[in-house]
Amino acid sequence: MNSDTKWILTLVGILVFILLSSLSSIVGFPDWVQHFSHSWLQTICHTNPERSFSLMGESMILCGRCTGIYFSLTLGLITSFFISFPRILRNKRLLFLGTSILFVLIDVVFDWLGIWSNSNSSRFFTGIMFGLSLSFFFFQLSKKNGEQLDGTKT
Amino acid sequence: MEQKPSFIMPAITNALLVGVGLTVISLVITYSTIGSEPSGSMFGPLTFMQFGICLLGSIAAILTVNGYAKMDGVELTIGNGAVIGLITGLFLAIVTTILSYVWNNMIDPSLMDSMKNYMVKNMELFFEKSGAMSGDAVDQVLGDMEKGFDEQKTMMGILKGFGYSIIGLGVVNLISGMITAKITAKD
Repeated sequence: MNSDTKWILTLVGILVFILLSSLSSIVGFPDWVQHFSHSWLQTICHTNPERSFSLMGESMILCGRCTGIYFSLTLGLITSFFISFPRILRNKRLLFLGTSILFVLIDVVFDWLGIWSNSNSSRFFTGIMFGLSLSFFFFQLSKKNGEQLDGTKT
Repeated sequence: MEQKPSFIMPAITNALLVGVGLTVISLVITYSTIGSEPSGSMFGPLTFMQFGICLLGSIAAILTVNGYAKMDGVELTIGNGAVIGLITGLFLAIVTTILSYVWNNMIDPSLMDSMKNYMVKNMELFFEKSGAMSGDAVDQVLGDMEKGFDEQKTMMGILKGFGYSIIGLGVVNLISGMITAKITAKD
């Protein structure tokens, strides 16, 4: 296992920790864990329960958009180890990132200006796009027949 | 063996730049919010501020990794980007905590109380509008909120906030550092 792969796995671990922290009240972790999760997640998300998904009567701590970002980034990183993705996803990754940021901005700013009323679904969807576009940057780690996906021989 | 240049000074410089920027933005939003009438909405400029701080905070690692990659004799790996991002996030947490301590304790000690009063009034309005909770439950939530604000003024509260900032800013800067390392490695 090379150094890059270890770091990607570390990142996956961190992302799983974030998602588990967000689910702490739903999973039924002890009160102090829930309090800790809520306090530290407030530094990366507004954690407004009005904008979070609910499961079994309990709200996730992260908002719908952040859930989408971290969930799709985790999924993208994990699948990049097993699946060969089309070359276009790697070659146009900055374009994908820019487009996904634009969608997030449109969703946020239009809602703020009253032009469009965003929902949990639109926030989750734009979050998924943003998280996936971030994961495209790590795609060349996957190997196929001794060749990395960016075309260089290993 | 050739030694790589240190990234500590660029990390401190960028943490200072971004930290000062974040503090100024959060103060502007905080003062404009407490100067207005509470709306009873849970989503206002203050929640935008938290969202923005997360996004803007990640810029520190982008700047540091990008600048470091341009130095002579540097070949960046994802691991380098992650470490540089994490250290930059740590410096950023130190800078923002110190600036916030100085402002709240030396420059404007009444800010936290004004903020607490605003937030409590806003929550009262929110519960009044939504009618989702009974009187006792509302009192409990508001009491917890006031307690939380009071705790933030104590040394233990400040240290706790610092610890949470390290985790939050560390994580977002680690991610942005890794991605910037990948982008710059391509060049």
